[in-house]
Amino acid sequence: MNEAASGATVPFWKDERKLGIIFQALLLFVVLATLAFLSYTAYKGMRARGLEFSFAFLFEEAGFLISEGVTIANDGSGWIFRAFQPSDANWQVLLAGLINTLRVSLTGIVLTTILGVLIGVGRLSSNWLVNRLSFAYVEFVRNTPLLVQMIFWYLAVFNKLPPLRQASEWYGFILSNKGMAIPWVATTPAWTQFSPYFYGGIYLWIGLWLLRWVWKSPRWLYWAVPLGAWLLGLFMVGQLPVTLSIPAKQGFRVAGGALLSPEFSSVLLALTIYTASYIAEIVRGAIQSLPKGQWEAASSLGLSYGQTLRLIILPQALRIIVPPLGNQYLNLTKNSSLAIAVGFPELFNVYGTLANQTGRSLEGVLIVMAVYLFISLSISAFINWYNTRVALVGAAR
Amino acid sequence: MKAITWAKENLFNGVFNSILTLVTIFLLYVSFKGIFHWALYEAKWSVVPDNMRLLMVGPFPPEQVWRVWAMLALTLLVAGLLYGNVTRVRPPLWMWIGALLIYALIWPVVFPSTRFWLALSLLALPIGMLLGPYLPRKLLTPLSLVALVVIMALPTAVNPNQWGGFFLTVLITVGVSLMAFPFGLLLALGRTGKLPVFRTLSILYIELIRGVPLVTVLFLSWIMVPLFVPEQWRLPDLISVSIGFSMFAAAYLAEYVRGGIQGVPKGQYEAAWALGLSGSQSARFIILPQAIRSVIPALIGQEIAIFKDTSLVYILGLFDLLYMALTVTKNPKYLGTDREVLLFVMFVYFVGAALMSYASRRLERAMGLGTR
Repeated sequence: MNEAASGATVPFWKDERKLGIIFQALLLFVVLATLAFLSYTAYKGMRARGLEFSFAFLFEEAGFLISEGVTIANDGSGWIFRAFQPSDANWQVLLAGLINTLRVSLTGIVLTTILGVLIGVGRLSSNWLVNRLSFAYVEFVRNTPLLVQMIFWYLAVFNKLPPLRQASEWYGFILSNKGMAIPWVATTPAWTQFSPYFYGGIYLWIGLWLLRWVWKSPRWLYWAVPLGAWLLGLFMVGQLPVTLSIPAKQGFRVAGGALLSPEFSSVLLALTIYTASYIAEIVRGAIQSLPKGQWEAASSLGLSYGQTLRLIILPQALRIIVPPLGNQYLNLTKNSSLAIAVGFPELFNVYGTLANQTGRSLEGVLIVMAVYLFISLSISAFINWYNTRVALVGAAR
Repeated sequence: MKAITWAKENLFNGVFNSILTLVTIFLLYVSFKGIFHWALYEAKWSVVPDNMRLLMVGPFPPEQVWRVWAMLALTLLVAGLLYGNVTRVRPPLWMWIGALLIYALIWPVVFPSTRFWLALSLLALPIGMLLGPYLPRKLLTPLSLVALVVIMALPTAVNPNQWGGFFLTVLITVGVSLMAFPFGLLLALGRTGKLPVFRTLSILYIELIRGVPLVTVLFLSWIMVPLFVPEQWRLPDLISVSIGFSMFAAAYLAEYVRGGIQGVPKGQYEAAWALGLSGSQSARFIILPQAIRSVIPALIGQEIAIFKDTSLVYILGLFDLLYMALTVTKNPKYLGTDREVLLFVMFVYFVGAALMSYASRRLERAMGLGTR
């Protein structure tokens, strides 16, 4: 008994601790050996096919065009943002793809949050019609693949829209096979005079924020300082620096506003609509998980349905919503890689073209995966930071 | 009268709800007027039945299509036998009528030589249920195993590069799930276990895979896997893509199983320990059975996700349902039928996913999840 407890006579194949160590050493060895074997065979296989593992291609000239995209480039005097040109290097085309990915993802995240919360609240509405419609929306959208939806938007909706000549205008929106034209802010000639005040306000705000360790400014100052700077600028310039530019048909093209390409529009719509169905379920679950007493207390205080929702329910539901919501934002960003199927030049699509042009499939896909991993980790870090801020004080972090 | 009171209570209770109802009805009218007009008068729905074989089995040689039917019939027969044997329920009348209806509905689009197989597969489920109770269990297990081997052997007479359509979609779904499950289980055990190296490797793997999109993983395995085998093997793309797909799905499965493992009360571990069970024994007999039972709904949800994600193999040029659909629309005879064909694809996916979630709800109720 005593001997067994001391472990002196327990053979090692019956000792859990020793077995664990042996098992883990074996596992580590197998994993490392597999990795080594895989890299070696990959290297050999690539050599046999006349390829060489190298990232030097990033600095070669791209030589191909992408349909839309902005990149950074050196125009001789410094680094600026401008449209991608075929004479740019391969890393610049990847960057243009990344910027497109971020553009469609960030827009999608904003829109899908709004739509998702609306549908989620609609799922709980006492109005039968709204309730059933929201339910049908969620069921249909969640049970069909995103890729099919995206291709449907592109081939069956945007490609079938009439040419610009016959396109219908609808309160400043023009839908044609050239894409979706929407009203957008545009700068006027007065902008050059106004811009120092504009950026000055932003710098002052950043200054206040940085100073908060030394001097904690009252909250209203954060609003007042940039607004004051801009109002001063407006007063000094005496003209509006920005206007709302509304698109109008002009022959074969659209003037004014912003023209979203059919590819961008279909990717954005598909991502927004698909993710919103998941967000709706998250919102509904969170609201339903709140104790019924919250609703009853609010109504006994005389709050209306809207007030109850805005002041009592949603702020509490937010705590439950944040972690899964962040997961959905991540999914949306990762799903934007499906845009390769409709030809929107986001990161993965650009990689596809690049791999075709240079034959650098392996190096390219590793870069792309690293970038997505970086985006994912950044978003989840942000969500964690935000989560600790809205979590109950004293609750488990 | 009843309708009016119902409308008053559910649609027009209060000013806000009344306005909401009217606005919704108006929006519905505006958006559905055109859609209904298109669906009833303009759509050329004949494109779908005309190309049914392409959509269902892709480039599979027509004279070999009976193999797919035989797989379906055998699967349904075994399912019916097992179900009948376990529950001893006789096939209800609606099952026979349903089989007859489906037969009448789809026999025109079926290759004439395979109509016999169609009838056989439709009857397989009720016949299996009828015979199930009379078969002894001892016989049933080897019989199902033999059937499984036959089912797996049936399509191998045709080159995998010729598998396609919805058949391929289902095949990838089943294959990926079967390959991903054991690996996912292992990862979940590693992540929740006490062994630091095992845990670190599992966490690293899971987080790495979950941080990248599925397409990139599919691409990577599509490029890399052929490099690992001798060049003369000529591995079909189906295999190299499925390997990456399974590795991806395993990371997600692991997270669901982990949720189940962490939901097992601590007393269960302590009880297992007190009984003198080793770590692997308590995992096998105590923890995993309870953990998996509690996450079955989530696992079926993941199954639905795999089913929907199979559409991504289209990007890699595999002839799945989506690929065949887009091929059909490129046929000059059916130009401009993208809407009809893509709506059909959505319908097929919707029915498949809805069936799975229905089964999940039934299973949940049958196992009494959440009620005991």
